[in-house]
Amino acid sequence: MQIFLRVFVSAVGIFMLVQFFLLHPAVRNAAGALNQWANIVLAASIFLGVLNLIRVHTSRIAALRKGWAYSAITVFGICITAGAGLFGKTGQGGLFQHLFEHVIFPLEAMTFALLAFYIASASFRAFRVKSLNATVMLTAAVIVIIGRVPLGQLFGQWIVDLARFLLEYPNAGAKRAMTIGVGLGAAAMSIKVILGIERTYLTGRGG
Amino acid sequence: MSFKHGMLSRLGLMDRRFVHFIILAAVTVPLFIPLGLKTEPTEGSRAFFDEVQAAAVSGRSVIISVDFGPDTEAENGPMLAGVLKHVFGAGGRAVILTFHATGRGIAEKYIDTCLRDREYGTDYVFLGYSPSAQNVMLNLSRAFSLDYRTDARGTELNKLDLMREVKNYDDVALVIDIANNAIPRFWIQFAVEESGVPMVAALTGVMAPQFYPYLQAGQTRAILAGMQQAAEYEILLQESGYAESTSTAVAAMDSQSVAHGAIVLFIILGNIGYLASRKRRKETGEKSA
Amino acid sequence: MLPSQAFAASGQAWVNRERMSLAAATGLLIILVVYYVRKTIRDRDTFIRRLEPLEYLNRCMGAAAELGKGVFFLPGLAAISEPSTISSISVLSTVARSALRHRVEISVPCADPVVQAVAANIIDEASASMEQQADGDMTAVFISNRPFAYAAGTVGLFSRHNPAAIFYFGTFFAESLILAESGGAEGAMQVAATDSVTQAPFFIASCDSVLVGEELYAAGASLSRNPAQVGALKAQDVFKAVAAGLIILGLAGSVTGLFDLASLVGGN
Repeated sequence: MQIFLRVFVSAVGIFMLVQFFLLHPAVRNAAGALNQWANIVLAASIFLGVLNLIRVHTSRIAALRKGWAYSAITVFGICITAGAGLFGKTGQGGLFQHLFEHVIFPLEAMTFALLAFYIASASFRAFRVKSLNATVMLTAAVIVIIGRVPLGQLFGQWIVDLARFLLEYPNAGAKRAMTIGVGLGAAAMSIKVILGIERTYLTGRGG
Repeated sequence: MSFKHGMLSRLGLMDRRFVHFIILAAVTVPLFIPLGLKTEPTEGSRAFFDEVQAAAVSGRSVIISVDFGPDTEAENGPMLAGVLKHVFGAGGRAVILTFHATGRGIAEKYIDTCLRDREYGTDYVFLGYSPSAQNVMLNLSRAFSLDYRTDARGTELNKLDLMREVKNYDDVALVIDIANNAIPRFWIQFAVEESGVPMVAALTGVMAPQFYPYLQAGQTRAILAGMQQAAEYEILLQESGYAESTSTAVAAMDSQSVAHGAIVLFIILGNIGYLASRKRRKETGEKSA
Repeated sequence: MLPSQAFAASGQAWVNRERMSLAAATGLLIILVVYYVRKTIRDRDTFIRRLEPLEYLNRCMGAAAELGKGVFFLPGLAAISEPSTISSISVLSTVARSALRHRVEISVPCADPVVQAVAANIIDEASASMEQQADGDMTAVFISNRPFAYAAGTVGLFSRHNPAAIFYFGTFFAESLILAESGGAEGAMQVAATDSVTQAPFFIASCDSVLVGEELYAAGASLSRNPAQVGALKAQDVFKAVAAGLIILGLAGSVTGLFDLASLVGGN
């Protein structure tokens, strides 16, 4: 079975790699179909995740282990949402849409808003003049923090221009370098998977 | 001297809950007591405005891709509202779609608010959510109908006036992507590079620096970066008459300014504390030696 | 007329000529990978530099054993098909064995159900190979595929389980700072490795030791020292050197005006 999986992964990987360079409609259609199958499998895998969630949390509730109340809330949320989607109206005016707009929306916005507090405490702790590099980073951070808001214009146009320069040139250059490195690393990793060198996801052991 | 050093050293050990409380005050108070700090439009927001303006008056439609969720609605929402006011205020038309799972709810909310007096099917069409962004973006070079049989409301595309005119990218003047993720990169890769359709992006402050290389390479014509530039865009819309007044982005600028000032103050205090404790450690070390 | 017939009648070439430079680059990378993997398997003494964050990871495991606390391993939020997640899973394989060896509880909260299944399988394989059972009920659990719901659930786990160390290996989004700061507030030692260009600064500010960019992909090879993986890593480095050389050459040509490398190699 392992050998079949390895050969199958390699064959599909090689096909998807080669089709990128070909123009024949039969090849492009086959690749499109494979992409759609991948999307379908990914969508179905959410079901696996929900099953895992229910299994873990119901066993914790049954054994009254530490944190079982949080598990009860989780299972309650899953049941209510799944019930609303399966048995209720899913369009505008339905319970499902109501849960989405009045529970998910504010919760996600609130969690993102927490970042403002965390960034303040992280900056307070992290930006210290411990070394030359740290001092340069600190100075650049202060210039950009001030220069990117109307407060910067109180100090003069120079800080706004300097902040823009730092973001558009040194920062963009560094990001470009990282993006190229990540892209090459990802390409090499993909080649390793296609050639069967990287097999940890199948066997738990690589190579 | 040692008492002063002791007090100064403590500055570097401030409880994070105190820091959080000050940030809460810094963000909240200016909402009730505005400081009136002036926001001046910069080159980036002017470039974005000019691109959208040119597309809206060109006679062809635009594609508005709503690719953000409720988490960044505070930042991207004013951008979307501004773009809708701008495009339709200038007499343009739009095909609106989304590749973000929660983008559909967001798009419908802003369509209901901003496009109440526009005619659906003639001025705009909403195609809804599609999960496979790459395939759709590639296929739009041939025809919308390859991936969208109906719009989000279930109406067949050939029954909509706008979609009878807008067949593919050749009928599109500009793609406007409002996003908090990597979808603008897909637009560049699969639409701009493959078909040559021009594109502008309105991004969160965190995402924007990643896209400056694309702006410098000309692969995206303009970028609206973060809430600061969203506020600048609102000012430009007000100056041009597309909006009666500025809106949430400008109103939030005072809070953002005070919060940024507070963060810089904490950085300075933290460093004073760090330097004082370093000096104290050196003195204590020398005394015991 | 069928699409295939229309294509044949149009006389269009089978191969996309605009992508030939990419095909050549891909071919070169494949040749380099095959060559260096065979060389490393044969020679077995290929040098790769130490990655200090991975040394720190080993120290974290020792400290967790001394304190009697568990560790968390977060494989990121990307799908299993992403190279970053595959690299993360490769690291998990080594980290899980280390945790079992030190008798430290390891928890792996996942944001993708397939990743959760693979992670559970890896921990089971590690347990079986070391003839030890992994402790705890949270070895590999699916939290949520929504980034902030995942962050909220995982932060709750941090505060309840109070881990000695937290390892972030993979692709993270805006929730990275929430995770890292909350982990720091619990007093955990933290090591991060991410290819997310936008989140690396947040990990650098909040974690003790960080690998950025393509170092995540090197982490699996560096930890396991598997000859095939080390060989592929060498090939990647050689390819990067070739790419850097071409960039410098193109820059020189463009600045001096002598030649335009982009049009010479083809493509846009």
